[in-house]
Parts: sequence; structure tokens; C-alpha cells
Amino acid sequence: MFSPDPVHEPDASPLTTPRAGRLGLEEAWGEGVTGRAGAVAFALTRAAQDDPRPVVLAAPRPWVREHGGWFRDGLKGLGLADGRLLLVETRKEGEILWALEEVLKSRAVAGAVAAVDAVSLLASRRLDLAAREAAAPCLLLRTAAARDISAARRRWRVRSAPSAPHPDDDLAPGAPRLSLALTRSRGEPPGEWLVEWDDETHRFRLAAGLADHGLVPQGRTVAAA
Amino acid sequence: MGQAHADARAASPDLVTAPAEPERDAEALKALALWAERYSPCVAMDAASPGREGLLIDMTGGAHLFGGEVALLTDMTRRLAEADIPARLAMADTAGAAWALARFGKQRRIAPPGKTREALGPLPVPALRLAPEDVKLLSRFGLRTIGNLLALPRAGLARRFRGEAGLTLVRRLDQALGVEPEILEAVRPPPAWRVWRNFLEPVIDSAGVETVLNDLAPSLAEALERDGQGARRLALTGFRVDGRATTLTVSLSQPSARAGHLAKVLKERGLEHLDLGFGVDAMMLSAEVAEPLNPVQSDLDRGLDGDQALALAGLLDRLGARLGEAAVYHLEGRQSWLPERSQGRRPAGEGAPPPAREAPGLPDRPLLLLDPPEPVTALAGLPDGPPARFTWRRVTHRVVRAQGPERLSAEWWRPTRRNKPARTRDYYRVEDGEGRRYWLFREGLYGREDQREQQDVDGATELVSFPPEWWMHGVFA
Repeated sequence: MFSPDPVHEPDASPLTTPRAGRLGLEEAWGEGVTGRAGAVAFALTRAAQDDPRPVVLAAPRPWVREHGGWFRDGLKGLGLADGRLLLVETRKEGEILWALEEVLKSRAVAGAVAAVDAVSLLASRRLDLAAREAAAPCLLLRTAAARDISAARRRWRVRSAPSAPHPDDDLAPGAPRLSLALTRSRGEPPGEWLVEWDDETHRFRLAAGLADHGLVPQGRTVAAA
Repeated sequence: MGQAHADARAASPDLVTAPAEPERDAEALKALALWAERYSPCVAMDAASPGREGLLIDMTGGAHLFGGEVALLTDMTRRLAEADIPARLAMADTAGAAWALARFGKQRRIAPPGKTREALGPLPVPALRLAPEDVKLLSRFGLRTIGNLLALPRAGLARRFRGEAGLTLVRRLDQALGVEPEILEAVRPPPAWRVWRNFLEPVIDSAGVETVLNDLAPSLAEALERDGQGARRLALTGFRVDGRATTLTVSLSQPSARAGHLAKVLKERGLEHLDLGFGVDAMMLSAEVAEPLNPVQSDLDRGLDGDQALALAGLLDRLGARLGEAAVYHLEGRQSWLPERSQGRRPAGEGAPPPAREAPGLPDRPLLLLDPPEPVTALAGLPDGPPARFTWRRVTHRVVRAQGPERLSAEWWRPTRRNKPARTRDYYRVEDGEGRRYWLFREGLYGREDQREQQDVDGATELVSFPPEWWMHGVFA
């Protein structure tokens, strides 16, 4: 099999869909509205890999008012057709936590992404347990600079990064890039990655050429040819 | 009745009067009708003559459930008295005869089956639900009781009156005797599947309701399953001791006949929403809408096995019951090329329409769409070029890369807000120095759409400058 770009993907990397021993609750801080949109894209595409069940995207109404509503054409660009995505919009933030737990306990979804800020330690423990039992990734999108303790197994920081060069037009933005930082994790070293959107596979991959520049701390380069 | 106020005051100076409130009367009657569903699923309101409102309850084949007809009427009388609702009750083969007996009957208000004619005989003519002028006419002929009328040859009876009146008289007689059927229009369409329980002691709290619900759900599930049906809409009705009913309804995404699920969805909806008042002494669980049980695949189920699809349907029901049915949804395409009109919400679990033809090779679109778009102050190098810098939500961004314009013409056939003419939009995908990507558009074309007509105070029309405006419409990942 030949692939034009060498695929840089350290196996069992935190970037891939969590499996087996790595399952559980994760949380992500997006920087600004664009960073949060990036975090949603990262979390949704990661949850939807290789699983026919729908993915849940939940947000309370105040969050939607500030960030804007989900745009169908943009979601399709991520490779998520209408039926794959189950959207939940609640009046209050508290209802999100309840809905998330129901979603995970039902075992009917491939994963869940939810915008929620106030999470108690107890609530996050319950979600962590439900996510592990359901074997479905669950990611909380957080906005406030939360200093609270939570039971999340991984904590991400997501930031927009200047896009890849456009193949035909120097003045236009190219493939979107995100800067991902794993700031806290149980049982794996923190790290920072620059990832780039791949329109063919509908997922983020490590930005080509940067893997050798020391940005991937524990990466191994796999070249498929 | 029908007397002028002044005349009435002259005849009886101590008269206490109150203005008539027909709307509140109708409301109260409806509340009572719903309460009466504890006896039969078919309860009709009779509000034809103001001041003489009543209820007609179809008890066909149902009296034995309450210990016979006498026990039934005794039970009704007691409960209504306890609720302080004055009422006169009667029972007969036909609605017309029961109506007559309830209002004009002397002692025995139960006409035994087949003895309607005898029971009606001594009653006065107004008991036939006739207009007052017809009653007056009959009394002029000396016909004062129904017995008088029944003694006359039927054919002649109709001919004695001019026009409609004769026909009405004969029809009312026939209805009372059961010769002509009378269809009762139920206050709510009676559910085909329902189960209920009466209790000796009223239930006064949600915990008690939950116990009853756990008891009712298996019976309803069994009834539904026997017919190969599943509930799509459930109603739990409590009959209150004060003569009112309280109902909690919930929709299901898939027809279900599983007792545990039916009970769980109602509990999720919130049993505390039932207004129990001073307690309920009967409860009914009914499937208001039911559909065949063989599952129909929705687009959401595609690729799922049976257990997964079932788990998903259960999840949608629980979420919908607690959060409201509109809270859980899919996006679907709409016929419009304006981004904010190009999509709509469809409650999850509802059947999807056939997928619309979509343009292949979608251009880059943002993940989040601001609706309505937010105003932006922008500075462009060229009047019709991309912005060089812009300020949105008080932060100024310097644009390093931009792609566009992608031109979307106005949908001129749609009305616009504040009578502003619809203008062309030029969309740009821009990226600032930090790599943040936004979707901006300039509304209005220079040289073509930058002026508009305005009427001044005198009604004269003049052209005023209406420069193009910049808007923030979306955020890219």
C-alpha cells in the first residue's frame, strides 16, 4: 500500500481514540472561541472513529448563545452526517451532567462531548466511572479557568495554530492546524503536539514535517509505504 | 329564567345576582368531564343550554365494574358531594332519556333496561331537549307530558308543526327512546389501551403515585403486547377527590410495550408535575397513541444491531421526557442558500425525510455559526477586497491570510427586517496572526447596493447613503 504522505503516528498516542486502559473522562480548555471550536472538532472526530453508533454533542443554551450554534455544513466537513450526530441543548448547565450520565449509561453512543463548566469532584467521578464502563470517550469542554479538582484522566489545552500552507494560493489559509497540549494525565507524560486536519481520513494527524522538530516528546515515526 | 333584572328585583327585592361567566363555566365543566373519565373513557360535555350544563357518560357494559348501577350512582353522588359539586344523576338506555330523568325525574332516576318508555311517560315536555317556543306551542295543544306525545300517532305529530320544529320533536323523541342512535362526542378521544385502579385511601404524594404506576405499567404493557402494539404517547391521569383530573403525558421515540420502560419514562418526566390537590383516589394509565411493535428503522439506527437500537430509543425517551422533546435533535437541511436558513432542527427519534440532494464538494464552512451575525468594524485594503483588520467583541485582529469572496446573492423574495433591502453578501475565510480562523461577510456591493430610498417626514422619497457593512458569521475549528 502506498500513501503519499508518511503517516506520523506514535502508537497508543493520546491523540488517538482512547481504548482499553486509557478510557475515562477527559477535559479540554479551548483558548477563545476558535480554540473551543478546535477542541470540539478534535473530540468529535476522535470519538466517531470506527463506531457506527451516534456521537452526542451537548451544550447548555448560554454556551450556545456565546459561541454560536452548531453549523450543519461545518459538521459535515468533519465527516459527521446528520444522523451520526445527536445534539442536546439544555436550559441549564446542571442538566448537561445528568444527560451525560444517561447517555453513557445507555451504552447507545460511541462517545460524548459536552460544554460544561461547573463540575464537582463527585460529578466528575461519576462521569469517569460511567465512561469507563460504557467504553466510550467522554470529553468536557471547559471555559472558565477552573482551578477545581476533577477526576478527569486527561486534561487538554487546545489553541488555534497558523494553518498549513495552501497548495495553490499563498494568501489563503490552508489545512487547519491546532496546537494540542496534554497538561495533565494519569500514567503518561505530558506533551505538546501540532496537528493538522486531514480531509481524506476526516481526522487530525500530526502536522507533517514537524514531528522531527522536537515537538513530539515520545513520538515514533511510522512510515507506511 | 329569561327574566329582565329589573323585573326580578321588583318581584323579590332581596335577590342576589352574579354576572354570568360562560367561559369559566365551560372550563369547570371540562375539568369535571376529565374527572369523570374515571368511570368511562367516553365522557361528553352537554353545554347546549346555558345554565343547564351537564355531562353524558357512556357506561355501556361498564357498570358492573363499580358494583352495579345503583352502586355506581351512589358512588358518584358521594364523590361529587365530597367535592362540593351539586349534581343530579340518572341512568337510562339512551343519552336522551338519562338527560330527561336527571333534570325532571322525581324519585327513581334509574330507568331499567327496556323500560325507557315507562320512565319517560310522566315527565314534562321540556325534558325532551326542545326549544322554549316549541314547548309553549305544545302546551297550547294541551300536550304537557311526554306520555301525551307518545300516545299520539307519530306521523301526525311532525305534521302539526311548521318547518323544522316538527322534525326536531320527532327526532328528540326517537333519540330518547333509542330508535335513532345518538353519538356522544367524547371530550377526549377514548384511548384504546388503558388500565386503572381505584383506592380506598386517596394517594397524596409522588411516592404513592410511583407505587401505583409500578402497579399499572405491567397491566398496560400486557394489554399492548397482546395486540402487538407499543405506546408512542402515554398519559397518567389522577382523579382527584375534589372532582378534577390531573394528567401527565409523555411521548416515546419508538413504540414500546415494556413495563419497566413505560414507567421509567413517566418517572423521568417528573411525577411531581401531577397536581394531586387533596389527593387522588383513582388513577388511569393509558396509551393515547400506539403503533405496531415491529420496529421501523430510522436513519439513526442504520448499522446498529437490535440491542443497540433499543438502547438508543430508550435513551432518547429518557432525555426527551426530562429535558423536553425539542432538546434532543438532529440537524437537517433546508432549502435556502443563506447559511442561517440552510438548516433546521428535527427532534431525535422522528422519522427522517428522504435525504435531500446535497451539493458535492462542500466548500469550507465553520463549525459554529453565529445567528444572528454580529457586527464587526473592518478595514479593507481595497473597497471590495478582504478585510485587513477587524474588531469583533472588542478585540482587534490583524488578518494575515484570507480566502474569498464567495458571493451569496440575497433572497430578494423574503421579507427583511426593518424594511432594509436584502443585499448581496461576500463571504471571506480569514486567519489572523495567531491562527484563529473566522467567517466574515460584507453585506452590500459598492456602487450598486450602497444607496437606498428613504421617505422623509413629508412623504417625499430621497436616496440616502447606505454603505456596505461587515458581519461576523462563524468560527472555524
